[in-house]
Amino acid sequence: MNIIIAGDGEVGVHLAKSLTELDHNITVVDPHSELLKRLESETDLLTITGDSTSPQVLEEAGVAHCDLFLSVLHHESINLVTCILAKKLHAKRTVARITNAELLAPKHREMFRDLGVDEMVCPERIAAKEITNLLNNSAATEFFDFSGGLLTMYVVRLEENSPVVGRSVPEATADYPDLQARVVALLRGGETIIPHSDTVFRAGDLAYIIGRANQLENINRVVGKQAVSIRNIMIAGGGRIGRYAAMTLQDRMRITLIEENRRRAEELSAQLDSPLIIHGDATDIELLKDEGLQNADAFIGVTDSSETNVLTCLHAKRLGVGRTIALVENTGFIDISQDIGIDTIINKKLITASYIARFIVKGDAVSSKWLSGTNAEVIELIVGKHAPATRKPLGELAIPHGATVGGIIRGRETILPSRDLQLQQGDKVVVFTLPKAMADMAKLFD
Amino acid sequence: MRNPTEWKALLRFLGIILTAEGALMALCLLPAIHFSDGTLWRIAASSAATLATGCGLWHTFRRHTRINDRRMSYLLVTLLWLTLTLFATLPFLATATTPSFTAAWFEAMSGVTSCGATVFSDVGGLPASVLFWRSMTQWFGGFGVVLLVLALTPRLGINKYSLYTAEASGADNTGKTTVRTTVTVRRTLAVYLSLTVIFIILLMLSGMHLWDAVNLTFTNISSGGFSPYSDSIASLTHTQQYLLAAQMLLSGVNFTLLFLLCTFRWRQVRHKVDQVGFYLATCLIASAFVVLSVHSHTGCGWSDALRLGTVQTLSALSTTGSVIDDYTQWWTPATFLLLMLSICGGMAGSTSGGLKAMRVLILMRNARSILRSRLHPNAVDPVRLNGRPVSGHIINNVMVIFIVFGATLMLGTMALMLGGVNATEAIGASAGCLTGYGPGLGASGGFGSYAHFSAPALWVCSLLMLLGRLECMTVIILFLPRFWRR
Amino acid sequence: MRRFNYRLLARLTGILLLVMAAAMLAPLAASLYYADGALWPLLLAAATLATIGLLLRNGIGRKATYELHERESFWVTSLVWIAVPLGGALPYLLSGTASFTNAAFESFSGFTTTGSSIIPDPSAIPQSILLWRAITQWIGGLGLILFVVAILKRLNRGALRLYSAEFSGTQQRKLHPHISTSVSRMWQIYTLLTIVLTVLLILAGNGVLDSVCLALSTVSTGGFMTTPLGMSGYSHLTLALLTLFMFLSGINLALLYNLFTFKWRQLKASQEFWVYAAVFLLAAGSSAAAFGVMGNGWPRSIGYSLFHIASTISTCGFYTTPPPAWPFWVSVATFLLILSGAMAGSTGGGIKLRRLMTLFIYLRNYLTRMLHPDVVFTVKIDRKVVPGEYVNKIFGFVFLYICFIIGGAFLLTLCGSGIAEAFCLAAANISNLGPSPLINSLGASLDYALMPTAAKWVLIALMLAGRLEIFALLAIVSPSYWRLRR
Repeated sequence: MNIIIAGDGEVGVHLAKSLTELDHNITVVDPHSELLKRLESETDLLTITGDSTSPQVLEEAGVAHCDLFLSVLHHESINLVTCILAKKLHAKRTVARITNAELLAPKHREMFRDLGVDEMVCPERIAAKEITNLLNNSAATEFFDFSGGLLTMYVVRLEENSPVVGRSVPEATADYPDLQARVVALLRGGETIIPHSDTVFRAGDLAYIIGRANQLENINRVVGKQAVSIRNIMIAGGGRIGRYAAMTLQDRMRITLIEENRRRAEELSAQLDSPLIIHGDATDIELLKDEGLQNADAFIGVTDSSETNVLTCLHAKRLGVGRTIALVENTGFIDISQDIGIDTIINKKLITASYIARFIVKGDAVSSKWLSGTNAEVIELIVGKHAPATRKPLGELAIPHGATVGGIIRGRETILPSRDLQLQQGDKVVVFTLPKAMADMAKLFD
Repeated sequence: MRNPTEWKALLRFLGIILTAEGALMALCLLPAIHFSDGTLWRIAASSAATLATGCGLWHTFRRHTRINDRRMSYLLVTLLWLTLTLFATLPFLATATTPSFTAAWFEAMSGVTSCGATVFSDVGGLPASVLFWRSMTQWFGGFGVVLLVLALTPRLGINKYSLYTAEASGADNTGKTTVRTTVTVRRTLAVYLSLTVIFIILLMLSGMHLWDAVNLTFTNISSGGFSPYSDSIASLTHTQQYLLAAQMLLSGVNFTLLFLLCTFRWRQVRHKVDQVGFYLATCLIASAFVVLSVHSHTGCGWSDALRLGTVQTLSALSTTGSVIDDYTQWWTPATFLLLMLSICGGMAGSTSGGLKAMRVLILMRNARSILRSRLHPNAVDPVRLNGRPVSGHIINNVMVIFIVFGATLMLGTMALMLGGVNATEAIGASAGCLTGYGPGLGASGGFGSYAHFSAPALWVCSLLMLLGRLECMTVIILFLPRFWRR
Repeated sequence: MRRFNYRLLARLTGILLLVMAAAMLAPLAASLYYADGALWPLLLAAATLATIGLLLRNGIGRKATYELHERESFWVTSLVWIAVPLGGALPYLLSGTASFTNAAFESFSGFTTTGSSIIPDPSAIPQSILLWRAITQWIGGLGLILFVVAILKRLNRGALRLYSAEFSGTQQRKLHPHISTSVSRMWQIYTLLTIVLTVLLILAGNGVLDSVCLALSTVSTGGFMTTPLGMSGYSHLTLALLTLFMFLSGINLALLYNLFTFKWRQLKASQEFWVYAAVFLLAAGSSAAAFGVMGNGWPRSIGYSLFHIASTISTCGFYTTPPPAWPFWVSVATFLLILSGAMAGSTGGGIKLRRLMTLFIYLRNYLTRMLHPDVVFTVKIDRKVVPGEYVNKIFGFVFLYICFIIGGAFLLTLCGSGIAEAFCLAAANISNLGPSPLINSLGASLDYALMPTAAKWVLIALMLAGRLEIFALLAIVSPSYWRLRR
């Protein structure tokens, strides 16, 4: 697939790298030649120096033969203009990164489609959504719905007291016959393991479990975790992520939001109804304590500084806050942050990239998600008419190494995979895959 | 709020305060012995009970010194006053001088908040020890017990300034002269004590008996207003009345200012010059009007009118509540003016109640500034106090206190009317209790008492006194749902 | 520096006098029809007004320009509001109904839609004069300046300033970008309401003249009544209709316009409306319960409460014979409602609910700030932010309002009223309510005719201050106003 990415900021670079790995033809357009040089030396792609709002530059990048045009610069208006131009220059599909979530309203979307912007991605909004999902399913560290909630993927950490620790995967499955869920992967010490029959669970493993939507309590029982009911939350940082999260959560939870910038704090108080907006520095632990950090059920660090977020989360953890979520911009920090005890790390780039990736896997992929902490991806594929997968039962299919089937949705019904299951055309298959196996998997179901 | 150590620290504080109260109560044994009024053992028992409870609490929780939660400090201040009042009822109950607990509570509250409203229609018949206890409660209540404790115990571990502001909420720039609150409090205490001693001596020089001098000084320097006589200060000599008027005048002046004056630091006085000017101007103008109306409507001579008028005006403005003549029989506008003066009150940082001169001044200047801004929409015309602009934030806070004060006054009036008090008297009683003036209008005004009030009405009055002493907000905040949330 | 734009003042006054002369045609016709003997006085009054009006408009005011300073607009507005009601007093004076002070009182009470009357028995005076009384209220209901603005299409900045001087502001959105269109829409809805009510009243079986008078008084929330016994002689249907329309008159006119053009969403989004409805229902419900519990019979209790509360909250001021047992709670509710009034932008008086809501939200924020000192707040109404300076203005307004009540009450005590009575009278007249059973329940007389002349003028000043929302009136006595040269 020919993909043009406008912007080599962090999101752009991350997208470019991961898409190159998936064997796509990537062209990156950006005005900063030095950054581009570095990118080109590291990755197998084409770079073009120039302003993405110039038709000439776009033509030079080959916009006419482009299947997907991603504009992920920092400025919303430039992204929109770039997409409009690209569409007029015959790009097949355009995606713009925006900052104002208001544009995502259905009536506005239609208007932007007419203008030539096919899709819009608001990283802050997605990150905020992620946070609200996490708080709604408080025990899981990550959480993702497929097919409108028929299947759910839970990412949970195995606790010391979990009954399955020390047992192999088939043993554990036999222990809980009524558990409507399946472990698709384990993350152990930075390594992704697709479980075999001799894989043994260890305490501290991050387990990726796909199951029916109502299984959270059962899963919690198995992994030895108690769901905490979340009532009071404290958010540090009133940027867009904090604001969107507060907006969605304000009706159900008591929110204290801490913002350093006075003007921004005033704007927040004008926009939000019930949250308590505190003007202060989030690194001032005394202030946080004064405002009742120790009584909070969850702490969310989403200031502009990753370091502040991580440190305040750690402090919150020490004071006994049940759930901590930190926004970490530097992808290199993610592993270590989770190791030192922060429950969940949110990364705008990964989130955006995984969101954008749904436009890449050809037409059939319904939704996909890159998981933080691993380079693996969960995608939802639709079984094609003459797909190889329809010819044999599931157990006999040549499923590539580094991939596994997590669940099947047929109509409104969810089926957990078994060896003798016969796939049919139109089935939706939720697949857990490492990048290298992605192409083969897609072929198998197409 | 859920932290038990904070509660223990709170109890320790109550213990300290009660110990202090018990000790002061023990002083009432002196008149009991001297006049042998037969209450010795009863007073001793009350004092012992208070001391025992106080020391017990103090000792039990002696290790818990810190209160970190801001909410606890608000709660603490209100609880301190309630506990003080509760134990202050003991002498009344032990000597069976009040008909009911309600009456005892009212009298005790009126004492510790230095209000001056009384349920005793005949004060003369009370035992000397009880009389002395009434004066004593006003004396230590007027100064502010919380400050007293702070001053006496140097290492409390609590954020003192937050307590200081909790007790005098909203009065943002009145208090501190030095960096340390403790020092400020000590200076204030020094001024208070020396004033007390000086005036006792002066009164004795004017021919008064020590007993009367102590009682009257205790109640007038604290802007309280109890008197050992049923006719308040009416039957004293003219010199003595003027001396008491001087006490009242001073009790309405900011203590820090007095300290500066006494130590000849004239320069720093200018930071308060507006308030002083306003306070004195109000005194002068109001006195002039009252004197004129007394002269023209009660038919007494100029010198008598001058004496009655000025003394009663000062008594109202400083919210003392000593009565020199039955002002309810004066010309209605004069009575009305006295009522308004008590609502206005003395300077912030004094023992007087009411809205306080500084606030009234800010309110008036702000109204003028708004008016001007309507006439000159583009003019930049900040409200100034003592030559410095006052921030809009402070102005609005003053406004809030004004509105809350007004609303409390109004609701208090209505609650009293629901409790069976007639309209005029309800207005007077509500204002009298809320501002700490004491006597009201009608039968409870002048030389009258609150003896005829029903029990619910007395409770309403007690609540108003507490609200007035703590400037409403510290009490009202306890009713905010957020306050009790985790 | 140019001189004061007296020509414009003359022109506006002239126009309004001519309008009044024209409006007098209606009472003239009534007088001819009923042959009530007031024909000649009315003719004379109309002729006089027309002559003066013409002289002012085409003489001095011929070359008037609408160039106005911000400051002048207050001056012009206030003077128009003084001159026009004085002109409107002529019919009473010439027909021998009242003396000069009484006639002025009646006229000011009419134009400010207060409804306080010095006529003890309205049925004894000529019908045409009754009609004139009602008409003055109707003209004053929306405001005199608004009347002129509606007539003249030739408007510019000056007129805009006049408009804002009269409507001194509750931050309302205009109905239409053009001020004259907005104003004429308001007049349309106002007229429509009046006509509908008149027709309904006639259908309910009331006399034509009676219906017209009542409709004019109701919609303008004036409250002049046509019988000495208030509304007691009317049928239940009539009272129900009046209750409904009094309630409607308390709604913001712009909102009413939206209601009639079926823009329901605006109504739904208006927090103030829901507060208004809730306050109304709560007050009426609790009053009905209070009456019912005292054994007045439930149907009567409910009916009377609805009527009385609607009359009070819209500051209309109709009254009917209350049920025999008067619960004290109703007095409390009444007094609070007198102060609060109805929605901003309605024809009613009082502080207005919108302002009170702002204060309330600010107070809540203040309390929360005591717990969380670093918290950041904004005051939001209808999801829109009320800017800080605006909050400050509202505070200023409420402060001045209370000052006017206190000052007015003081002046009334100078004229011989009791203190409680003076407060009620001042409150009822500054909020343009007029007569209220509350004043009766205090034992005072509703008969304004018996009051001393000075008291009447005090009340006139209060009515004007309330109608002009204080600032316009106060602006002309502000010293900084007089510094025209700068």
